[in-house]
Amino acid sequence: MIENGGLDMPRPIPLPDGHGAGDAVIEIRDIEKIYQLEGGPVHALKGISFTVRRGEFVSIMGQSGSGKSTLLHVLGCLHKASTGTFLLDGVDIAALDDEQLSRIRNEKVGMVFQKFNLLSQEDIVHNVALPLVYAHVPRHARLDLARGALELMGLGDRLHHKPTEISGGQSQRVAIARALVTEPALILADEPTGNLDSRTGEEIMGVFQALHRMGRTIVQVTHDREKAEYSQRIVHLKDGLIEKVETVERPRQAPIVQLGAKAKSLN
Amino acid sequence: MDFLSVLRIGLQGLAVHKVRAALSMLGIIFGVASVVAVISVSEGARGEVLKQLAALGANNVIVRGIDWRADNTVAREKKKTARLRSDGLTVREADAVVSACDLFIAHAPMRKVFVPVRRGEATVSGDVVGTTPPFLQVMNFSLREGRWLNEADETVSRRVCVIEDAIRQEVFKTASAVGESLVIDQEPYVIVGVLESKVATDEKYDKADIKALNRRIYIPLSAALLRTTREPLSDEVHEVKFQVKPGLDIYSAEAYLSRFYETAHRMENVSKENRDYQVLVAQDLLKQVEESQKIFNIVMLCSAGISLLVGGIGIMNIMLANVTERRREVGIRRAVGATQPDILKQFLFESLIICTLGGVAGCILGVAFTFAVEHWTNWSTSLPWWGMFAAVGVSLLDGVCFGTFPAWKAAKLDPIEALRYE
Repeated sequence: MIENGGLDMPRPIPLPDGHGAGDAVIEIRDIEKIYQLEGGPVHALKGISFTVRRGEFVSIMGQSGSGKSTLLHVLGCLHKASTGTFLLDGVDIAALDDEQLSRIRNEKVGMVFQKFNLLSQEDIVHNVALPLVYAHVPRHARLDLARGALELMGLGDRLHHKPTEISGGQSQRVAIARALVTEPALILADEPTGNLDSRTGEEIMGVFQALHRMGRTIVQVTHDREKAEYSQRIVHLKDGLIEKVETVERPRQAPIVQLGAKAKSLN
Repeated sequence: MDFLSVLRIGLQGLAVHKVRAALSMLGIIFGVASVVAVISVSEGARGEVLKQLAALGANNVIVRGIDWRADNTVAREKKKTARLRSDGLTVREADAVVSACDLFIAHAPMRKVFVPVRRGEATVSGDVVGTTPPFLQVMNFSLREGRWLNEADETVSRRVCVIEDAIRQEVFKTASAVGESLVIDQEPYVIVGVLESKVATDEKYDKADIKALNRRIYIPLSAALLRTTREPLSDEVHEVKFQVKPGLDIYSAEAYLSRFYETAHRMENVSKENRDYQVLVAQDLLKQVEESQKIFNIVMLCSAGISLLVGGIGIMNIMLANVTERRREVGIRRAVGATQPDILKQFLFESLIICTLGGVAGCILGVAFTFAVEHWTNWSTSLPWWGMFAAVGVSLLDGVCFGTFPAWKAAKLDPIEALRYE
């Protein structure tokens, strides 16, 4: 059983003040996304509405072509929806220009990718500090914050390793640390275990569950039913529409991950 | 994004492909080196001319007879024609100019005497010049030893001479030459004084007569006129130097002299190139030198410009390759919150780093080249501080001009497309 998994840590990342589980981090209404391609317009999302409340752990599932990647890009503020309303932590995304979208990505979204997407020329502490560079955090403060996030991920003794010098599981932990470092309202993960073996994948799910217990709002996109079952709710997409929303009665439980303790896969 | 972060990211970006970055710098290095070399050589030449101007007398207007000895039959024919109108330059008319106006404080006629000079049996290579006592003041020359020609020498056409220090060193090799004698046109002349040597000279500046200045033997003008062989058709004096009063405009003095000689020589209807004299301002000599210098400068600046252009294109090429290779990095940065201006700044800064390093290396190479030029060719050079700034400034401009397009391309990348790049 999981005991105190997310609480026993040297540097707890607190919930934003004044918010309990309940208020909406994501609120989308009738989102449509149309790509204008050479062969004609493609309707990737055909009117999607759902809400993710603060502190929830939600999975978005679907086969390829279902629109889940497009939805992820919209939720990550990498693209804007063609029509519909998207409130991210209360901010109306439709009204923002490119620069404001960048700022929202920086402040409110922490993205975790399937392929980790770390900068190979930077050591891991600078990789984690990267979003803080664009948040104009002074150098010392951002390295301190990055160090804190890495310690939480159990990588406190690997600060100056290059991404090529660590394992896949560790790379994904670095990516999660990078997603956490700005204390965003939403952690958005795109197939976060897709490049990992099943044991390491389970470990990363453990990390997400521990973060969830700390109060983090997490949305993951996956095509893997088993990984989706680690979350509380699964939104099934098909052909650009929500097929059904399923509540997971008994989420799978990953082995206990002690945040702040040295990561197991380090050995 | 703060400056240090941009710098750090830029240096890291370049560190990935060090050799490539270094190669792309070459064009800039050579371009900047040529800019530095052009500036230092032309500034050096200018400084040299200015020094020589001081030696010639920057405040002098020179009226010079067209050289009859010019090895050119056309010139000879022109001279003959001119002689039908005037007698050439004379002492009388020079004196008349000075007494008729209030523009000049002194004047010195000069007659070049083309006669052999000997010391014992040995020939002395030197130009004999007959002149009057004010010459020393007009030319602002100073004596090393002895005295200058005086009025008494002039009145009695005394066989005395004043020599340049270079001749003393060559002929006498002793500390003092005063009291020694030279044989000029078969007659012995006693040396009464030795002049200080003039500034270092250079073959380029023959126009300014500096080289010849150091090879002169001065005798009284009257001695030159009476005692030495005179050639037919030759002017009485070859040149008259008029020293303009301090504070007066040298060009209005020149205009006055031009008018005077035009009337005196009856040359009103004769075109300038066919007249038997020319009126020169020492400062114009500088212009002539600068004019010839200009061609050198244009050629060098063109080559510098081409180097910088090629260098800039090289940088654009490298930066475009960088942007393509690092699309994923751009995607990652955009995903974590970098704005388009952040990405633009990052890549533009990389070009600027290449250009700054190239500029500095180019400056060093340019300075080394300048020293080499000075060492091997005897040209004088000087590199003003603004030259360095100009050179590095030009290279930075290169970076901005040729780095903006790749940086803009990077900034405009779609974050999702960029993230998909393998």
